[in-house]
Amino acid sequence: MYYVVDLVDQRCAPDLVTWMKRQPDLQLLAASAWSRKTVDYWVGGSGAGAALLFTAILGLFVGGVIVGQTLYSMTKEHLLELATLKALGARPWELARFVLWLVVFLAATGVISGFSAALLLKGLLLRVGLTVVVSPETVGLSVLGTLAMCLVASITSLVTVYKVEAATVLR
Amino acid sequence: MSERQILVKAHGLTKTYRMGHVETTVLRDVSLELRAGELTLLMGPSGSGKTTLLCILSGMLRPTRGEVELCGVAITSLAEKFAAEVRRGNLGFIFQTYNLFPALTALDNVAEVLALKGMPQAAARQVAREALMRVGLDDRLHHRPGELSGGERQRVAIARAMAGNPALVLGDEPTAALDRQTGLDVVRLLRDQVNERRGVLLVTHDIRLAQFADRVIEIDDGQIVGDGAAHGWVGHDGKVLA
Repeated sequence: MYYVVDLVDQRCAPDLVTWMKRQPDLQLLAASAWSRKTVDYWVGGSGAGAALLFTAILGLFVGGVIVGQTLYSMTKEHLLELATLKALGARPWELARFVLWLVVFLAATGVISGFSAALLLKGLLLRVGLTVVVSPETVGLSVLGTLAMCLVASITSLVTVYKVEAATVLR
Repeated sequence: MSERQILVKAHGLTKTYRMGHVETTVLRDVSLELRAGELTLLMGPSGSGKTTLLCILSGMLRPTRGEVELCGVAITSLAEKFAAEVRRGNLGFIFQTYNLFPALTALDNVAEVLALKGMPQAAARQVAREALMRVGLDDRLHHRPGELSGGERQRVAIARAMAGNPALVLGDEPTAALDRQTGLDVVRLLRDQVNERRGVLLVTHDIRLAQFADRVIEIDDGQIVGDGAAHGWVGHDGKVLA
C-alpha cells in the first residue's frame, strides 16, 4: 500500500484529488490523518513505542530499587534517633514524616537531575536537526511517576520505622 | 514520705523471653512504688534485669505478667500508641550515650521534644532556651552535639528531659560515659530537679551516686533484693553504699 500526502491545498487541485480518489491502489489522506497513522505505526506497529515503554518501565523499576536501597540505608543510619523519638513519645506519623521528607528530597533530586540531562540532550539533538518535544503533560507525568515510584520504594523504610522498638534505646 | 504522690506502682512484674524452646526469665515477681520528691537509684550487676525493669516501667516493653500504673494510668494494658501518649505526657529520659540528634543544635534538640508535645514552635524554643539556661548552657544554645563535651551533652539531655516538666525522669546509666567529676556534677544537677511533684529514677552501677539519692533499690537475678533509704545503705553483698 502507498500513501500520498496532500501537500497541495485540495481547493487548488480538485482535478488531481478527484483523479487520485479514483485510483484503486491509492489512499488519499489529509495531513492530520496521515500524522495520526504515522504515530500509530511508530508507536504501536513498529515496536519502537513498546521499546520506549519497556525502557521507561525498566527505568522506573531500577530507579525504584536504587531509591528503596538509599532510603533504607538512610533510615537504618538514623534508627537510634527514631527509636529515641519513639521512646520520648513520638507518634507513628511523626516518625514516618522523616521517611516522607527523604522521599520528597530524592524525588526532587531525581526530577531536577533527570530534566537537566534531558534538556541538555534536547539542545544537542536540535543542533543535528532533531526536535524533541517535551510537553507539559510529559513533565507532569514524569514528576508524578517519579514521586509515585519513590513512595512505593519507601514502603520497606516506612515499615522499618513503624516497627522500630523504643526499648532499643535502653539496651 | 508516704503522703507524696505515687508516680509508679508496679505489681508482680515478670518478664520471660523465649528463644525457640529456651525460656529466660529476667524479672521475677517485682513489685515497687516510686513517689514524687525522691531520687531513687536502681542498682545491680550487669544482667540483673535493671534495664528490662526500666523498659517495663516506662511502657516500652510489656511484662509477661504483672501490672504497671504510671501516673495513675494502667500502662501495661495499653496499646503502644496510647502508652507512647502516656510517656510523652509524664516521662523524661536521660540516656547513657545522650541520644541527642546530631544534626540539631542544643536549642533545637530540646525544642523538638517540646514540639512532640504539641507546643508551638516559638514557645517551644523559648522554653528550651530557659531549660538550657537552667543547666548552665547559655553559651552553647546554637552548638551541635558534636561541638559539645560529654558533660555538656548530658546537660542538654537533662534540659531536654526536664523541659516538658515531666512527673518522672528515668535515667539509664547517665554518668557511665562521663569522667568522675562531670558524672557527679550531672547527678547533682538531677538532684536539683527533684521536687514535690517530680521524681527521678536512675539505673546505675556507680555507688558514689548514692550520696545524692533518697532511696536505693537493689536488684539481682531479676528480683528486688534490697530497698531502703540511701543514707547508710548496706548493699545486698554487705557493702555500705553511702
